[in-house]
Parts: sequence; C-alpha cells; structure tokens
Amino acid sequence: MIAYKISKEKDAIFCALFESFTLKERPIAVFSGAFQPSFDCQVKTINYIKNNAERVKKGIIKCGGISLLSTLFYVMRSSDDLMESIVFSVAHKCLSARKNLTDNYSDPDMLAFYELKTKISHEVHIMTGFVRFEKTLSGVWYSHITPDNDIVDLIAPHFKKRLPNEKFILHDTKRNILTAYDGKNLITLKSDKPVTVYLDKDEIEFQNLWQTYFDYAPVFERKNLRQQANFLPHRYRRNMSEFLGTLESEIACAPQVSDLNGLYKPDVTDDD
Amino acid sequence: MIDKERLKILTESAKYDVSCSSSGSARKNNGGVGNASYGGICHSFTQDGRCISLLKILMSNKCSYDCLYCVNRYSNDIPRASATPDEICELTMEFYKRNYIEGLFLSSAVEGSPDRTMELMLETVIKLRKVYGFYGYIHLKGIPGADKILLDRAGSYVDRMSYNIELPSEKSLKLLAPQKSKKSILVPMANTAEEYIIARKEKNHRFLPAGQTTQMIIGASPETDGQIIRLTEGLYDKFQLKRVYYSSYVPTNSKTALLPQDPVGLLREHRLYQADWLLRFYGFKAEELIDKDENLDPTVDPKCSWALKNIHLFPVEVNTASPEMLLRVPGIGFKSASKIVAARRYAKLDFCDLIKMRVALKRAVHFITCDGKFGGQEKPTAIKNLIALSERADTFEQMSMFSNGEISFSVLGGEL
Repeated sequence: MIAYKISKEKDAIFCALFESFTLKERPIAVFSGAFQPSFDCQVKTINYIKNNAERVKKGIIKCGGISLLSTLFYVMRSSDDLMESIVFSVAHKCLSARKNLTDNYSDPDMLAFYELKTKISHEVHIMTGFVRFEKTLSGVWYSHITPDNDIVDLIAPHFKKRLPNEKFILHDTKRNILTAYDGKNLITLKSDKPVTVYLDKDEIEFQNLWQTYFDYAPVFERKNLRQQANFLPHRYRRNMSEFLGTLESEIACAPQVSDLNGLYKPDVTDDD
Repeated sequence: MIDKERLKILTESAKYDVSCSSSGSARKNNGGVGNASYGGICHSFTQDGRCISLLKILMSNKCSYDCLYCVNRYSNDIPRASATPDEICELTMEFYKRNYIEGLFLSSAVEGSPDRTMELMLETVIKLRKVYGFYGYIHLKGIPGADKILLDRAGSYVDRMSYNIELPSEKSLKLLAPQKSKKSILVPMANTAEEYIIARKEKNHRFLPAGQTTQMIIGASPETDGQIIRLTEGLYDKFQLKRVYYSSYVPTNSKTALLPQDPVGLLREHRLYQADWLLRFYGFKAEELIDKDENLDPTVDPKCSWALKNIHLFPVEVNTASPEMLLRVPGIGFKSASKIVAARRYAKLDFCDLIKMRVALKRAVHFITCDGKFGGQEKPTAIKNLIALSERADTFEQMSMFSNGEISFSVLGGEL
C-alpha cells in the first residue's frame, strides 16, 4: 500500500494525479498535513512540478469542462482531514471515466465530495450573516472571523455589492488571510503580521446598543439555548460582539418559568 | 442617537411580533447602502432560539387601544417610550453597516390615531430610502384603520407589509380587542392584496417585492385548529399572502378572567406550522388535514395523521410512484422527493439508497415499498405508536424498570 505526501501548493493534488497515472498505482491516501500511516503503508513524497499540474488540469477540463475544475478547487477550500484524499479520488475517477461523475451519489467518494461542497457553501451563507464589522478611526470597516473553511474571499463579494461605497477588511485570523476592499477592487493577501485596530469613538456606543437590543429581543418564557447553539455554534461566537459581554443577557434571561406548569419543557443544558 | 433605555423599551414591546424573515426580495443596490438577499440571511440567534434578521422595533409603545392580550395596551403598567424617524433611520444604518441586521422591521402602537401613526411610519421609511440611501430589506406593519392612500404609498417603498389578524374569529376580537373589528383588519389586507395583484399583472415588481404576511395568536381564544387552518387557506387563496405566522399565547399582562392564565404549549403552534407548510408546498387542502374533532392530532404530525386516515392509498412503490404521491408520504419531503425522482432514472432504489438520501425512514418505512419489498407495520395504531415513540412525544413513554413518577406508582398499584 502506498500513500502520497503532497506539498502545500494549491494545485499539488494534480501532481499526485500525474504520478498516479504515470506509474499506474493507486494510493490509499493523499495528504499534506498530518497522517498516521498503517503498518504496511509506504509514504511517498510527491514534488510539486508546475508543468505536470498544468497537464492534469488540461485533462480535467477535457473530461468535465471548466466547471469540474472549479468545483475541485472549490472543495479544496475545505479544511477536512480527508479533503485531499476525497478530491484525489473524485478527480481520478472522473479522469479514468473521461467524464464528470460528481453527481453519481451512489458512489461513496462522490457523496463525500458532495457533502464537503455543501458544507462550504453552507458556511459561506451563514458567514454572510455572522460577520461583524467594527468602525476604525480611519473609517475602514474591520472584521475578524474564524471560519472552518478557507472562504474569506468567497464572502467578500457579498459585502462589495452591499457596501459599494465603503472600505472594509475581512480578516481570517485562523489562516492569516485578509480580503480588503478599497472602494473599487477586492484584494486578498496573506499576512502573518499582527494587526492593531484603533476603533472609532462611536463604535463602542453602537456595540452597546446592539448588545441591549440582543439582550431584550428574546421572549424569556421560551428560552431554548440548545436551539440557539444548533443554529449559532459556540465557535463562531468569539468574533461576534453581542456574545462578548454576556453578563447583561444572562440577567435579562434569568429563569422566569415558575408559572409555566410544565407545559413547555426547555430541554436545555447551559453548557454546549 | 437613541439612548439605551428607550431602545430597551421599544425592543421589549416589539418582541412578540413573530415574523423575522428577510426573504422574498432581491432589491439591488443603486449607489447607496445595502441590498436584499432573496433567500434571507439570519444574523444572530437569541436565547429563545429565534433568529435576528431584521431590527424589530416599535416607533412608539404608547398605545391608545386596550387589547387584552397585548403587552402594550394602555391599561397596562409598563414603561413607555417613542423614537423619532431620524433616530430609527440612524440606528438602522449604523447596525446595517456593522452587519448586525438585514434590514428594518418597523411596527408601532397606535399613538393618537391610526393615520397619525401610519404617517410617522411612512415618513421613517421614505427618509430611510430617499435621504439615507438605504436599499436593504424593510418590513412594515400596516396599521388597520389608516387611510388607504398612506398604506398604498408605503407599499412602493417597503419590501413586505403585514397586518396582524390577531385573533382567528370576530367573536374573540370583540371580546379581547374591542377597538378592532374583523372589517377594520380585513379591508386593508384586501386592498393591499388587490394593489399587489394589479402591480404583478403590470409586471411592476417594485410594489411589495416580498408580498404580504399576517400573524395570529393561538390559544388566547377558544378557536379550534380547524377554524385556524381554514382561515389560513382562505388567506392564501384570496389575498395571495406569502406567509401566515402563528404565535402561541404567552401571558404578558395583569391577570384577567377572559384570557388563559397559563402559556399555551409550543406543540400546538408547531403542528399548525406543519399544516401550514402542507398547504403551501405539498398540495394539501385544509379539509384533508383536519380531524373529526376539528383539531390536529398532537401525537403525530399532520401529514402522518392524514396518511393514517387514508391508509388504503399506501404503501406506494418508490420506484414508480408519481412525484405528487411521493410528496404525500410521511418522511419524504420536497428535497428527498426530487432526489428520488432524479435517482430512479439510473437505477432501482433500495431502502439503503433512501437512507443515503436522508429520507426519514422511521416514518416512511410504513408507507412505501422499495422494489416490491415492504418493511413496516400494517396496522394504523401500531404505526402511530411507533412514530410517536420515535419522535419522543411527551405523551408516549417506553417504560423501564425504574420509570419514575405516576407511571411507576400505577404499575406498583397494579392499575396499569
């Protein structure tokens, strides 16, 4: 058995595909990060050769058109541990059959591929709601997010349409990627330098107003923290201003269920 | 800028309006701030599990009406406040730019007269669009009794309008909301519906792009589910409403003998929403859903209840059944039905394939065959018990050796 270790380049998977087709061998796994090989598994390091990757890309376009290639790149944004292996298998099967098989959901690889894809598109959708901008002294709107997948440049066009006359920065602090909009163009760059943000003098005031609104909007008789956590997982909350000062919200939502006579049982645990 | 205290009062007074959706409109940005997303976007979730999509706020909670079920009625002793159009516009713009909200949901208590209140609300909306250049979503509550010109004019600025039906029958309305009548609510709804239909015929999509909705309170008055569902069906057919919202009654006031003292459970509201979905998307008619006793069965969902009453139509063969019939199978929803129809073109489907397609097989298994195979129960009572158990409905419980409470006492006493 053999497993391929690929480099961190975006299209390194295509080099692995080139190697696999040239030597007519089928690796059991493809990985770029951590991987625990089994006892009889041989790990082979695949060097990144741009020319090979380009040839495979051309081959994929011949099989399933540019849409297949872009779908593969889209799914490569996933941070799932098995992402490389799944994308490799899907591309391998499509190349072997010389057609786009991604909608053949009875194939477990295709189903896994489809699920990764939906996870990413779902996160893109919910992040358009969960981003919180803060006004900086220079008038630029700054937002820090920690999405599960590498999607910061997919969210940015939504805000470009929405706030065409404003300048904003979306900062993925997990991957140190920034997407900035200067009023005309979107630019994505990688920066490991720490970012210091000086807030506008009104910013805290509006955050407080938002906190007040958030604390008094729920119907306290219907408290249901489990449902809240299902829709808005705790991992996203550290970037959302309304959850940073939870003290007031806890006071507001103090249990007032004494007169409910058990008609409504909030099956709730406070810890997530 | 609006102060914290007034924001708190106006938010608390507005929270019993259930509608929170920001969908149905795809308003484009035309050089100002914002646009609308057709599917709607949730921006946060509060402790009651509901989403915050729009800034739901009252212009004022100083009400001159005395509706018994309402928290803002004039005889209720609560703090009162109001906000100016500019304060609301500023708050909306600042919240919107910070991506806290998707738009504004503006409602108001009737301060003075309906016309005066509606004028103020209209002023706010027009200012927001024209002066502040806001292209985001606006949901406006129509004030029953306000002039038709005001209401029609509002329709061309906002994305969605709604009038609250409040209570499902005129009798209850007379008893609990003496200043309101069936006519005063239904006439403006009918007018708006008429304008909406004319605008669509003329292909004018700027008039209420997201249509009209309404809401009613469940459990404050003695109406049955049957009456409510028939009313809902009538509203969808006649007034082309986009949604009917239900809100189960929560006591918010000083006690009166005319209203129930306890909150109504959420289960009834849930079943009504399920029935509402069946009316809108699954081709059901109100009469099919209502039981002989005019209520929905609380133990199983309305679709299941219908299937059990019509057990002679089942089981259906998944590989050959028509899409309409598939939609009527409990456990098969819109998405799974379309997946089944697409997938059976290539190969015969088995129960395993249905599990992969995320069909709720625990319900569907009693009503379908896969390639001639049947794996469910035949007797309706057995099916009902199994489904109710799998849904963990409160009324059903699998007894264990150490079941507590009344059940174990009745077992010990030999009564069970």
